[in-house]
Amino acid sequence: MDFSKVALDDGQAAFAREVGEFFAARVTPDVLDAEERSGDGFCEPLHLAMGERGWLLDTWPETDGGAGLGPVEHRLLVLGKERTGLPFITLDTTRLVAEAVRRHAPEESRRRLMLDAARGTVRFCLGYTEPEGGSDVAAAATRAVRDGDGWVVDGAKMFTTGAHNCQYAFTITRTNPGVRKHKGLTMLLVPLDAPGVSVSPVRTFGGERTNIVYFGGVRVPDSLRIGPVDGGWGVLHDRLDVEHGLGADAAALALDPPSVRTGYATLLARCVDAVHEWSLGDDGRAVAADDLRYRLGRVAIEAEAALSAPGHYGRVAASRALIDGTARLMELLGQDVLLGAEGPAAVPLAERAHRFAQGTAIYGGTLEVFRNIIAEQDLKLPRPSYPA
Amino acid sequence: MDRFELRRHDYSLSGEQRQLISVLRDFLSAHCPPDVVRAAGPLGYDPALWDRLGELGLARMGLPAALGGAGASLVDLVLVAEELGRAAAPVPFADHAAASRLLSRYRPLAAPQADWDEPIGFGVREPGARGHLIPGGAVTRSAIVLAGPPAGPVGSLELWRGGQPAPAELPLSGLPAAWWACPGDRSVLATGDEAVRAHGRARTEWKLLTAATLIGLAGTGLAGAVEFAKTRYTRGVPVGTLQGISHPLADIATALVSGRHLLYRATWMLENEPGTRPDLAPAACAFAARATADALETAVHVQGGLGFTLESDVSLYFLRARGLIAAGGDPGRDVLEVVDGLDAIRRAEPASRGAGTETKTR
Repeated sequence: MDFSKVALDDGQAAFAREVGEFFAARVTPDVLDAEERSGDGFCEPLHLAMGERGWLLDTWPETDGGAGLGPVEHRLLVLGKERTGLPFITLDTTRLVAEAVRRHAPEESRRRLMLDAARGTVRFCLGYTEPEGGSDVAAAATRAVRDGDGWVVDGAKMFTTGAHNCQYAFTITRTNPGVRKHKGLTMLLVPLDAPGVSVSPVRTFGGERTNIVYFGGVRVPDSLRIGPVDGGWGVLHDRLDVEHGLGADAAALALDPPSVRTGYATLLARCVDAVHEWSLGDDGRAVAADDLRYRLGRVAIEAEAALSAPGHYGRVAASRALIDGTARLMELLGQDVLLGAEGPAAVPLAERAHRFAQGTAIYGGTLEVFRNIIAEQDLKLPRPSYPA
Repeated sequence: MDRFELRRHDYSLSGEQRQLISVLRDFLSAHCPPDVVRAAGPLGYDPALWDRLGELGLARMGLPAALGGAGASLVDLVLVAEELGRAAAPVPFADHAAASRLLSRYRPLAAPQADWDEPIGFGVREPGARGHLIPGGAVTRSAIVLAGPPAGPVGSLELWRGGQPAPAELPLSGLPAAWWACPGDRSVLATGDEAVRAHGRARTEWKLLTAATLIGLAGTGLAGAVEFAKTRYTRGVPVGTLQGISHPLADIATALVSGRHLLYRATWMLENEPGTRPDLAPAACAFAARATADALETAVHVQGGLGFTLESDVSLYFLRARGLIAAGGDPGRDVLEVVDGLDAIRRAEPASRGAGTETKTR
């Protein structure tokens, strides 16, 4: 057990300063405003500047376009990014797919895709969910049919966030409808500028712009197939997070938060801090009534518990805490909520978080999917038997 | 507070800690099955079990080696308390550990060594209507209290011996609690701010150990409910296949894992960086109190009418948890202490005032 601050050596301390200065110089109020309006989860100049330093695929060796960062430097970079408050959706999806490319792409396309992704000129979005499919991505109906040395893709993918800023969609296609649903899937990188692709925006009330992407007879060369034909499920279930690739030595340092969704709890904790600040008098003394402090305390407690929750428990705990906690904070702020951006700092922060929170119940699978996983894998409750 | 500090998130237990848990778990499954808990009756104390645990070294574990102790960390004591809670062991471990550690700071040589094995009670809060509530005070012959009027000057930390405790009653809770009035035999260990500070630290330790006990109790309650859900059928399927049953169970499992981890982090921070995060210990305690109560309520109701019978094991855990929560006082006070902790953190970082205003410029 160890929750100590990590002591930095001189090189690491210098790197931490470099990261701080890099983001401070580039994440200007204009950049934040532009993100607020677009909901893109992407800022091209920032993305390319990070690429120039090898900071997109930062733990990859320099020869692959990365910066060869060690685990401590990697975490410093992640924390520097998170501190900006910007969503890095397209960077996150690009990193995930780039790792799949590194492991599974055919030789002829692999190197070029890796280098371009690391430089930032090639970005990837995810083509998993379908309009009729929800969280059951294995039920994909988007077809890919062999045609000479390539594939022809027909179908549609929903929640393809970032597609309008990306070059490829990492797409689950059904290549064999004659076998059980998990067995007939193949992963293709569908070029988003190919004839037959259309990208339509979908706005969420979380402020994010996502998309629906339609594929009508889209031709994809076989060199953009990632992994074996009908072996897509295995590619999807490979541990694709780049952190995992840092190996056992890095894991022993325990620098990663306990869950991949701990960030939701961090966001709630920042909202708690801001509302706490709002509740104090101008001289920083506690002035709020005990009932208000009690209610704030309850949210603070939920945030801390969610910050500690591991693995898929953390997926459920952090999302639930954020959804419930931000609703309670909005109540606490009362009519100040209606002051908008002119109001105290807590208002825009909590207000955005409250809207964003609702989407966290869905990202990467719904909370119900994760409750099923906890029930079956951890509690060993019997699996329900459904007809399909 | 800097929420983006580079810290480790290492919740793992050491080999020794895993060994400690495994030895204790084996011991308790042999010597403290549910019928032993029931046999301890409404008093909720099994002196033979206490002696056996003493032979394992538990009574002195948290004391320095000079007193025959093992100098165990507070984290180790939390692990022990959770195991004792898991077995609903009828022994006043939290009282004894908090009080004996406190006493050892003032009276390292006063008491003959044998006395350190005898359970000591601990007055968690200020006196109530009938004196000081000592959670283990119906079975201890001494107790440490922070005396207030009329017993003595405000902020007088005292060791009381041989009071005439009046039993405290919470039906079916099996809590060996008693109300203590000021006895003739009292010695003052500290006064004034020092007394308040020392008692506050011991109270935090008591509360963390009790939170661990609660999480242990709830874990056993959950395991029983899960077993029931696997073996009880409705319309030809185990009830555990219904999401109306499995999802509440998944949610309480989530709360208990979260609560256990928060408790580890709060305890580690208190022990290794006292003062850095004063909000965490009360947060862990308030969370454990609520998560345990909710978990055991769910565990009772998942088992329908059977969970409601006194014969069911879950009833033991449900009722015991309520007694322990009451013994620590209103958990709402812990919630307010969390915000006091946030105030203190804010005061310690004057430069950060206004850091939250970054969004104002947007």
